[in-house]
Amino acid sequence: MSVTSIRLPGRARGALSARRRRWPTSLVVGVAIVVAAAVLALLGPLLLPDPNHQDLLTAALPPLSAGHPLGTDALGRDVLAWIASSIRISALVAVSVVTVAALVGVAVGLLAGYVGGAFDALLMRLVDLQLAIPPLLLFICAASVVGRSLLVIIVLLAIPSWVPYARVVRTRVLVERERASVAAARLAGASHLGVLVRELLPATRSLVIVLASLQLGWILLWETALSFVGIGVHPPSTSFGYMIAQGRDALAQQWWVVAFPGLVLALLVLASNLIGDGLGEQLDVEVEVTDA
Amino acid sequence: MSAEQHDIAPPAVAASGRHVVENVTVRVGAADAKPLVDGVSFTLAPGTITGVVGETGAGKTLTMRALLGLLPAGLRAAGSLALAGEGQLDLADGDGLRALLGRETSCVLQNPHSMLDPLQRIAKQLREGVVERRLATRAEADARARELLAAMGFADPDAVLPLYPHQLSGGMAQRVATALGMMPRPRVLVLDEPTSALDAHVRLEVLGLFRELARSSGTAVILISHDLGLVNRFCDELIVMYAGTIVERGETAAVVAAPRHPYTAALLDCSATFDAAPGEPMATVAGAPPPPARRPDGCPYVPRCPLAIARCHVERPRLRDVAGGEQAACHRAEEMEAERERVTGAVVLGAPLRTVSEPDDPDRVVVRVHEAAADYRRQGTSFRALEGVSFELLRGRTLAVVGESGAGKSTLVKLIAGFEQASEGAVEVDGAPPRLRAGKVSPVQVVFQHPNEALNPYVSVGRSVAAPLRGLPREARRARVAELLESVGLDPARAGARPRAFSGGQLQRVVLARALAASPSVLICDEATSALDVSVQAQIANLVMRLQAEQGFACLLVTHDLGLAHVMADDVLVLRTGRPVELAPARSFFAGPGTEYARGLLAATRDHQLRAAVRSDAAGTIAIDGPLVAEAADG
Amino acid sequence: MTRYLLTRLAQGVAVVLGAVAISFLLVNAVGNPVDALGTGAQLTERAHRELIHQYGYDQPLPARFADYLSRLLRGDFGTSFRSEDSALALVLRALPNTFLLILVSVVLAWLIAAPVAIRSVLKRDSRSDRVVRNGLVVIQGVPDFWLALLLVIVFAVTLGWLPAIADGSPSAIVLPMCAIALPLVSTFVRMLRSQLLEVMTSDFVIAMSVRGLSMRKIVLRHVLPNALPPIVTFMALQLGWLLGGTLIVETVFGWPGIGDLAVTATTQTDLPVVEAAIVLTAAAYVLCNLLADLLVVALDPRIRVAGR
Repeated sequence: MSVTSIRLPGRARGALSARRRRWPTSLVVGVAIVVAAAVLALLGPLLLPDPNHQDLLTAALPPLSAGHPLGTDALGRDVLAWIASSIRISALVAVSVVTVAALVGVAVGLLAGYVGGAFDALLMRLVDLQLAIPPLLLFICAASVVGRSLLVIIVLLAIPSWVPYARVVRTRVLVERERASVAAARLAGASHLGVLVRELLPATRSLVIVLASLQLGWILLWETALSFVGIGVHPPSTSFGYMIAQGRDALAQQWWVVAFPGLVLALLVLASNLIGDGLGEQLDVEVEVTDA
Repeated sequence: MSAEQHDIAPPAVAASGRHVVENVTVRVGAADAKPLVDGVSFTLAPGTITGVVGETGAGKTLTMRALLGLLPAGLRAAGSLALAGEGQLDLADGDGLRALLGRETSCVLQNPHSMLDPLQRIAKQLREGVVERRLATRAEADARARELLAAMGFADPDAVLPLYPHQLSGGMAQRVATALGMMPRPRVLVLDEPTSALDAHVRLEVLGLFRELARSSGTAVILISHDLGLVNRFCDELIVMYAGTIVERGETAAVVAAPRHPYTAALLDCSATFDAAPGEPMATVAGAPPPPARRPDGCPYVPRCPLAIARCHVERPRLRDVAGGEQAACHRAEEMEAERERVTGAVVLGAPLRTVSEPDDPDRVVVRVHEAAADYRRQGTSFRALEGVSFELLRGRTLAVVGESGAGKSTLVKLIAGFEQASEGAVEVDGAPPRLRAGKVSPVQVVFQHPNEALNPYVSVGRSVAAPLRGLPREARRARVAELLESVGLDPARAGARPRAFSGGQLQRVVLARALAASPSVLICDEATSALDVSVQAQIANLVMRLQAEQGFACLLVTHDLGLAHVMADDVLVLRTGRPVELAPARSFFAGPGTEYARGLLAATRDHQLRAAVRSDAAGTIAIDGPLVAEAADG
Repeated sequence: MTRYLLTRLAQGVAVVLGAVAISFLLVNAVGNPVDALGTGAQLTERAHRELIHQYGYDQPLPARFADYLSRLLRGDFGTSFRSEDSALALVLRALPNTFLLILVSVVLAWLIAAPVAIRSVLKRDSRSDRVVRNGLVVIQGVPDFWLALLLVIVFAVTLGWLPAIADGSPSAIVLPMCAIALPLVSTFVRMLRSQLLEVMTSDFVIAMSVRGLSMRKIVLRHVLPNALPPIVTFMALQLGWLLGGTLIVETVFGWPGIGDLAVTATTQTDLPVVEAAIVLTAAAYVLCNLLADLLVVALDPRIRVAGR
């Protein structure tokens, strides 16, 4: 995933622009989807059967069957329960990855933009490298070597994910560090760390928030892709990708095993994009993205 | 001076031959919103240049854009435009206006490079408009392009035609952009601040060319500018705008000699910086132009007007004919001649702010620079930004560092403040080389050009001002901040507000307060007034002078404005492409510079400066800095 | 300008070297690959040691890297553990298939995206514009492999119009192409639109209006050409992502591209092929970026001709 740039159209405004009175529709819809998904995920264990419970008697039931609103797969596992459980796992992975990525990325970006020199050059080469090697390819190769625990997956996904933050923060810092207020802070006795934290970091706040919102969706997609090819999350943990892969084998007969998990996944990614866009509108940030 | 002003007489044009603009009103969206431009009417004579002056919020650019049909989305225009001999065109008729654009009307924007497509050669750009509109064949267009480039002072037009825009300097680009604007032989041409980005001597050359072109082609040129001196020199007629309306109109010579509106008088006085005596407070007007939302019901100038009477608060004056073919929007326009002194007196005031002291005591040397040189490294090559600069700056004295862009002024600032190290020679502040260190408050403080960029937008102004006061306990800090804000003329109760709540002039005061909090030995003013409105600039300049007299810091005044230097400086250092050209005491410098370059520089700015009306020193004293408003006279 | 190109070349080489290092580390991180191969293979103690020695896995790491590097420079990427083919040959056979798929997908995506973006800019903030943009946001979130499967369900299984697996027929490219292109449309529209808007600052529009051009002509003749160089650069950057992104779609359709090859090689622990896939993909990406840079130089006189 590579972000070309994030721009603040009214650069002098940014955090200063007057907040709009109405929340953007995209933001509202996105949040609504997330809330609905959260409710499903939380209520799932209480109201729905165990997703891993296989029962050949109730195998391959179509949607709207009794007790299985979204049907079951070839081994009798309830699709709705599986979805509810997957939301939880996916959310855990996505949030963990994005948190780690943002922390690392912002720190590196701040330093690279501020210190410059060799450190900055090194960062730019790392960025180039990350762009050149398709992350998915790398994941697949690495996962086969390193194993498939949840922790490993989180670490693997985080490795290329910090780069967009670093890149975008660095660009912003390069501009902001020339600001007169930074010079004034140093004249008033601020240390370099003080300048980074008090003057430069706040200027990146909006960018990071928007990027993080968008990235959640991307991580979801990658994690699903990994599970789909069999090297990501696997039972007893639940994942969208695994179920879609299962459904693929009997595509003609059990389309619902592929359709519903994918649909929910698409909705979650959509929510992430909507929230990112909505926040972008709200905070006056415009994101140019190179990834879907 | 008057003889110089109008070398070529403007053509005599009958009233019927003029282009008429009536009742221009620009609003945001709904019809009941407060207008940004309200009822602007004027006429233009072909072959003349009409200057339009005004400060922030005056509405000059919006008015012109309304005439051209180029308003930004969301703004609605009303009113009419009638070219000489033609019918009226409603300004709400966007299609009608755009049909005129590029044919009868045209414009040139402030930044010449934004008029040009970076990917096209000049030749193609010049011919594109007319060929597109079928006003000429390709051959005709090329011939005209050559003709216009020659008229704009290019000795060899054929050398310019195959170039790309990025190969042109600022002055060249401005001339090309003007040629571009003139290609369709428009009847009305709008020039928006065409020379503000140019160096002084280029500016005069370019404007002279504009005037000749206007005369020879019969185009009515509208010149939007904030520089009254330039307008006085090159414009036949003058329109003064304030807060969205015209406050005065007429022939330039007449208006300048006898303004009929208090704002015009004030603007003239504020611009005549070479007439202020060194060390004396400069002419300014308290307050600042109001933003559209906060325009009062009566005359918009009331809060700042020394002549305001009860009627002015209630009834908005309409633009009407007063003596001598001029028009003014003031209830008391007829009395202006008599009251001129009083208006002026309210504007300039008080005893001299500084005493010009004689240098003697070597202990009082604050900044010492000896044969300093500085290099910039860019993409592997190193380039010498400054060389051989030497001077000494004493406590309580002001050194003006003047020069054109690229002279090395900012490099010098960085050296003295400690942001960069000199590659050669010595730079010392208070006896030691300046070094920025965490926890140490620098003895060198700076007031920057753009106040909104000089403050952290995420914290309150009180916090910003308190930054150098780290060592103090909380209560003491708060008290000191309040004290400082007061000393720069701001209300201490506003310490908790963020920068976005303040105007440009107010922000600059905050920046000053912060600088003072550090108890500096040297205060560097780096183009500190350049970004402010003319009527506000002197507020800050006067403030700096007063504070310096009270606190005794040395001041390094970096500026391109020689008028400002004339008032504020004890000594003058002229830089040119990084090298010192002249260093002399101010008095002798302004009487007559030693070097030819400096003489040229001075001539370029001073010779077209305005001469203010005679002022009496016995005028009443009113506080010159701070938000206080001159008291209204009873009437 | 020459200096600029040389710098880019040097950077490209650095990137490829980095890719080489990463793939080497990856493969050799877990001790030695022969052990990884071990499951199911019954090797005697002796045969095991011989294999290790034969492949040189008993040498220290730096020596192995140097050896690996020198082999690469000679074009020797090793032989696949599973088949007898050279890893290089396998990868070189697969890469063009992926490129083909990417090419047609991108062309399709732009054919849809460009007019939509241009129209969106011309009719900014109108109702139809909003509807289109909202629609695009919805499409953007769709996972490409899921879309692929849906397309298969609808067009291959239910309607029977198109093949579900790459069977050598030309029509086999249609479904994978659509699956990849459709999510891209949204990204491209956003990208083009935002670049167009960036060029279309109010000053620029005013300046071009003064030439008497209609808005449509302004966008097509002046704004679009100015927006092109950043887009070319953007597409080159996208390539890396696309190369990996098509990976899953390839496995769904059995399309014999690099993604399919890599997944197979990984699940079969065929490490030389894995190494070769990573290195050559990175090299292809670098090459494309260099070509893009050349294209940008040709398009933009500011880089080509020395300015003031």
